[in-house]
Amino acid sequence: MSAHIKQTWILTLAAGALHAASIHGTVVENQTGYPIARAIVTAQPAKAGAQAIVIRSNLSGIFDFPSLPAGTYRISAAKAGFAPVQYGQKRWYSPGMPIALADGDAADLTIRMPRFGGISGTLLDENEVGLQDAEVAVYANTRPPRLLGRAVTDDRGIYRLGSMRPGTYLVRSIAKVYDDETYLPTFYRDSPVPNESHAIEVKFDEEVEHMDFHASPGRLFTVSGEVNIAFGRAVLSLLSDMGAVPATVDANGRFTFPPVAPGQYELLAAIPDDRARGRSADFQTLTVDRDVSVRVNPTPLPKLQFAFADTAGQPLSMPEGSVLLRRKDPAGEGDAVAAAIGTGFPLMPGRWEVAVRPGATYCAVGIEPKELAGRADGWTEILLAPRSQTLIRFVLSLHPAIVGGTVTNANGDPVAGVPVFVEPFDLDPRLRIEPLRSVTTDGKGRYEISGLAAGVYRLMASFDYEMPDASQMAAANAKKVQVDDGGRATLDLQEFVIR
Amino acid sequence: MRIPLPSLLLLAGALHAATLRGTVVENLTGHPLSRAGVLLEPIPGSGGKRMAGHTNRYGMFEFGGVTPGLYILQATRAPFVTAYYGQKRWNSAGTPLKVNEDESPFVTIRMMRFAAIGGTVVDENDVGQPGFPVAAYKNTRPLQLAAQAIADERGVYRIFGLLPGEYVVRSLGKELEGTGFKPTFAHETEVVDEARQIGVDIEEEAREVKLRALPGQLFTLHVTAETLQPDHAPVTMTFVSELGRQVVQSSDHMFTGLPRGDYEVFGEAPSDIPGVKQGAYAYITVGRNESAQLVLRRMSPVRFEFAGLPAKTPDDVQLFGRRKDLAGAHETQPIHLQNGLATLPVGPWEFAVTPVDGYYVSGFSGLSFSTALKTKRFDGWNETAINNWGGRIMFRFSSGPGALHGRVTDNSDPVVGAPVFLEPVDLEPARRITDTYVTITDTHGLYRFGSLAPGQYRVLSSFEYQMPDSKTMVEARAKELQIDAHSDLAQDLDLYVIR
Repeated sequence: MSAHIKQTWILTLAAGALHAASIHGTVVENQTGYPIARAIVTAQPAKAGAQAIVIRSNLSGIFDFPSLPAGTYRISAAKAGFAPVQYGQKRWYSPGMPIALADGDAADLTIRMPRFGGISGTLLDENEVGLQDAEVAVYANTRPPRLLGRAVTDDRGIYRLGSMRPGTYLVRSIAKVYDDETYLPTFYRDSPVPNESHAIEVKFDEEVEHMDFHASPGRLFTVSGEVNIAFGRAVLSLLSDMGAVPATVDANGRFTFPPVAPGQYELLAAIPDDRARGRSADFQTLTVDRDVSVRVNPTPLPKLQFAFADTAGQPLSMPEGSVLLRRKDPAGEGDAVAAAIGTGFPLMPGRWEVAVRPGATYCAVGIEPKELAGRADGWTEILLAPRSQTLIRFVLSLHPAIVGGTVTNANGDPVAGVPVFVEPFDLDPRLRIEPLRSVTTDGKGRYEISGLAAGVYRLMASFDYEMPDASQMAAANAKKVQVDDGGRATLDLQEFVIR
Repeated sequence: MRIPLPSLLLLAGALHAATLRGTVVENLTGHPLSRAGVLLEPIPGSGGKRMAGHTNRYGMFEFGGVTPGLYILQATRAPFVTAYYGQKRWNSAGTPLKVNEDESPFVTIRMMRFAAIGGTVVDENDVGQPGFPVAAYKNTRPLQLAAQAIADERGVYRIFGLLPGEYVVRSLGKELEGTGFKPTFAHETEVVDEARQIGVDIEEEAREVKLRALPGQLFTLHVTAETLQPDHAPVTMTFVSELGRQVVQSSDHMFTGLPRGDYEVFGEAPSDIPGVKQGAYAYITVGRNESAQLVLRRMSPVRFEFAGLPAKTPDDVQLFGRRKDLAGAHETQPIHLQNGLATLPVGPWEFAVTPVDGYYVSGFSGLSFSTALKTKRFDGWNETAINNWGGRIMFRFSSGPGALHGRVTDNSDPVVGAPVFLEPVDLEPARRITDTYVTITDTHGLYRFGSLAPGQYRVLSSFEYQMPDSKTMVEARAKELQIDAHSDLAQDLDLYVIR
């Protein structure tokens, strides 16, 4: 390297260092202000396609991004045991505030990390004595309630449900046997049904304590029977809105579940290592109002296949991953996964939900067989019977609807970069593939959302939310619009600001 | 009318019988305890019969048709300390309850809760750290693991079910967000002698015991297991450290987050002979990332011999065994012999036999590192290792065991129903089948111990204890005795009372 080139190179580096922007700061615990060591701090450039920069805070909670190109960044922090946060969030559900840096700018930030919320209390018997080793479940306060997690009471009968996001929840004891005494599932506070229970509101950094309630004494029943184990070891589960309970199975295939409360159940039996036939399984729905004996006969797994056609009935070919699939049981829905397309594939028998993944250039407008309930642009439930073969055909419109417009602020000026949220208003929230879709306005405050199925939508533009729920959309007076297949609607919005 | 003789006897019994009623309550609150087990045990020679039952929903119990006499009344219920009628303290023996004919006494038994230790696992900045396992040890040397808990997402832990005494607590090794944390005693030390000592009393909870886990290097242990008979059989690995056991169903597993120290791995798999397993055992010292291979072979039966007994007596011998590993002794299990043979999992074991009338255990020879090398007494647990190749384990019996008898008095009056404790002083505490032998005096204040192995003993009679340890026996000035073979030593005792 010549002396001149070397000097130029060093000068360039020095100039770069002189002009680089920087962000540094401290991550602290929200309640105490104690520094948080080893938190993961991420600087996400706003520029499309730019790579996020990830570092950890040091032992004193300090982080430093020393030489960043000028631009806009979102800073977020994550740490085990804490709720993840973005710098500048107005509320826990708000998006973070972007930091714009010119060359040579330096930002000094303090990121406060809140703890998750928790619920605790004592599960009591008839004499106000805590029940030890009893399970307590927490549900999202939806109808039906959706199971989120469980905890076990300690020696004093005290339970604690932790790591909870803000929201309202239902708490319920699980059926329990103590010697000759049996207890029915009971909601807080002392109710057999969710509609008479008390919902508990949880916030970050708060522990809702003394949520004491009594388990109701009552009769439990046994579910037992025999499973054909000629083809291998069987794993049996009894599914209810309290989750899955495994059975004990002896060497002869006789099985017993722990005693259960009266109600509706699904029995799923699987032989994962069926040497003769591959995997096999059985699925039965049970009404338990007395001791029940069941004969379980696993058979080869049912097969599911997807096909696609346009509105004129012409077959379409779709890429892998265009169909989503999720398991459904009385405790709620499982995680959605991309389904294989083409030849039929085996699945466990039972209830499933299928949907077409939304795309910009198509939307689902029909589903066959016609007797399936549900809307094509949402989740549709199917029942896969043992040994069955099922073909689901989606009818797709290649001319989906579009909604567009301009977002302005209270002064009538266009707002750039504001998220616009679109909620499929006339679709049952439980059937929505995505609770909301969102786009961001351009430099002139314009937005456009395509790939919409015909229907009624509710729209809101706001920096105050990351992903508003239905109640927040309603509170913000989100505007409604109806679109037809292939139609285009214009809807101008005013930016919503929480005062 | 003539009344048949049996009916007359029954009638006479009914006329003289008493009814015992009572209630079992929680000590701190006075709340009735349902489902408590209640046992009425007659004092030898008092003529009554043993009766057992449970409290009802209101904490009440009733024994009808109780023969007049002297009884010990006991109540048990999880998670409470077993309670006795008339006991002075939580660990005192019960005092005899006198039931007179045609009376209906009413008694109350108060049950106490165990002690607990709670606190928070924190980092360098006093910020709670989630998910750390925390163990409480009895403050003995070596430490004895008492109970464990897992810290919640705030770092809060609570270890319960502890008997009163002195403990040390320790956070166990854990990797959290890329940083290793070594096992650390409260408050912040690796050295047990520098650990904070925590004393807890009955029904007491030591709170805010802070544990600052020290960062440090942790290691991995990669274990592969190969089965031979047949190969590719499903393997269950049990990984053991002094902190507990972890079971995985795999033939290839990486155990992570291990502090420097000693570990054991047990492998088990079914073999090609029904009912016989394949097994392997390894003792591994980890000081860096290690790997180990287990080769599982079919387990061969071990022959147990009982020498020195008359030809037909071996069938009367009750043999017990317990597996032993770094985490301590497993549950005691009866060993059922078939033609003198038993097939047992490989690894360290301890074996003991119950006394046979007229004989005592005078010798033991095992398969390896046998107890025989270290002791003169064999009437407790005897250690040996089981391998895959079978072999012979022999207990030797000698005739003419010792015996001890006498009278317990208090101010020269015989004491009825008084516990008498006999401690085998020259048998190491860890090898004793029971800490002390216990009997109670009869209606004349007389006691007797038979089938004793020759050796040194301490004897004490007191209502102050249920099961005194060696330290307590010394403090209570228990009488020291030498019991020889073929002897029946007479030793009267003064009742020991704490004034």
